[in-house]
Amino acid sequence: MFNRKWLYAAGLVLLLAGSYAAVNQYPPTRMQSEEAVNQEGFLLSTSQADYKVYKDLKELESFSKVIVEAQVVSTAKVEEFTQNGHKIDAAGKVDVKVNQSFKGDLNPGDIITVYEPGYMEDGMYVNTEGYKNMTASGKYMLFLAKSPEGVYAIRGLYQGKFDLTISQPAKESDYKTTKYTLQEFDKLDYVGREVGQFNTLKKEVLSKYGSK
Amino acid sequence: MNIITKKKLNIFPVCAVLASLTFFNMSNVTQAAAMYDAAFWPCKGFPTNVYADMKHYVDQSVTDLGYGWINQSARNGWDKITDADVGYGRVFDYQSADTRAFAGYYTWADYSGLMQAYYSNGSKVPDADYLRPETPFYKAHVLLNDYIMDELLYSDNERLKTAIHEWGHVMKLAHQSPPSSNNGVWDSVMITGQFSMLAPSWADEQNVKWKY
Repeated sequence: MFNRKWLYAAGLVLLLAGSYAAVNQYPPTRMQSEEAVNQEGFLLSTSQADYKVYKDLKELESFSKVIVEAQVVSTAKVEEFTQNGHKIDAAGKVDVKVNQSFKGDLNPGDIITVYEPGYMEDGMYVNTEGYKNMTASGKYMLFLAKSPEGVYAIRGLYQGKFDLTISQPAKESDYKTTKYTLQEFDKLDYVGREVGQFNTLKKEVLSKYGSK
Repeated sequence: MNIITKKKLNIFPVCAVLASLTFFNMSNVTQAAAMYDAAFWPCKGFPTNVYADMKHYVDQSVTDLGYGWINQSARNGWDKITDADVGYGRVFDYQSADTRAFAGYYTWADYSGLMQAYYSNGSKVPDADYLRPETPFYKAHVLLNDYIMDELLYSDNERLKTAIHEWGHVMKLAHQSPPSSNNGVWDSVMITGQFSMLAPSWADEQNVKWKY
């Protein structure tokens, strides 16, 4: 039998339902990634890019302004970029010391700053297309773009940096959407899905530059 | 020999020839684009009503660097797909826009184009959340890197392909694999790389029709 109690209850249900729908059109907080901040390990956040795909090492070499073997000599920093007052992008920034120079005007002993498409932010490793950042323990073949202003960036994203101390090919399982520990992450040279392309280039790089 | 037996003997060699021709044709079949579910990230992305009428902000840089027609053509390429509830409406207010386009001289990064999706708190969407059906996009940015496209001598149609590709990511289209043979067909604008495409392909259109 109809009475006021039922009317109030129905009204409350409608109010709650409407509130839930309004709030959840754009949930205010990020989801899963908050765990990475509070617990051991971190997640990947991979930006989706379009980029030139190099068919082989020869093509990569021809499009690189600088080819060096180098090692990291500074702590990595993150630089943010804004455009007309809006933040649009960020990049990792690290100093490397040249051990050998194969192309370009650098000499052994030179220290240059290189922008990397991978860095830590908000407890995640943010990267473009699977690039894995350099560490102090690695020895790297770097294929670099160089702007007229002297800015060095990794050519072809994940296609222009290879750790000569990691000889085994990258595996598809190196890319995962669950958390990485820093220990396992630093043993990797590539954390994306284009494993075939990365390994094809790296095999040629190791063959040509690995024993030098 | 009766007539029926004679017919059987005549058909057999014809079938054998047809079967062998079919076998050789199958071995040369090119890799086809991923379709329907397989072409998309599982995440929710923007709400359906937003995809039907995306509020789109165009930074001044897009016009200043000559990408106005490229950006508009790229969006129109998706917008004009028949039987797909996808549309764009230009807004001049950065804050209220769902999608934002920028173009610039991005020397730190070796991509020709980039898409980045964000949560409402400004953090980037981690890879794990792209796999969750409930994951929303709050905003999406598309960046066109004039520096790289100039340096790598991109034609206008190659720049257009990059823009169409990035706007495809806004609609949750994932990368497609390139054809596995030299005779393969480049049958999706979602394949990465420097090549020309004036509009989404037939496969891309079918996927968007299916989704929206």
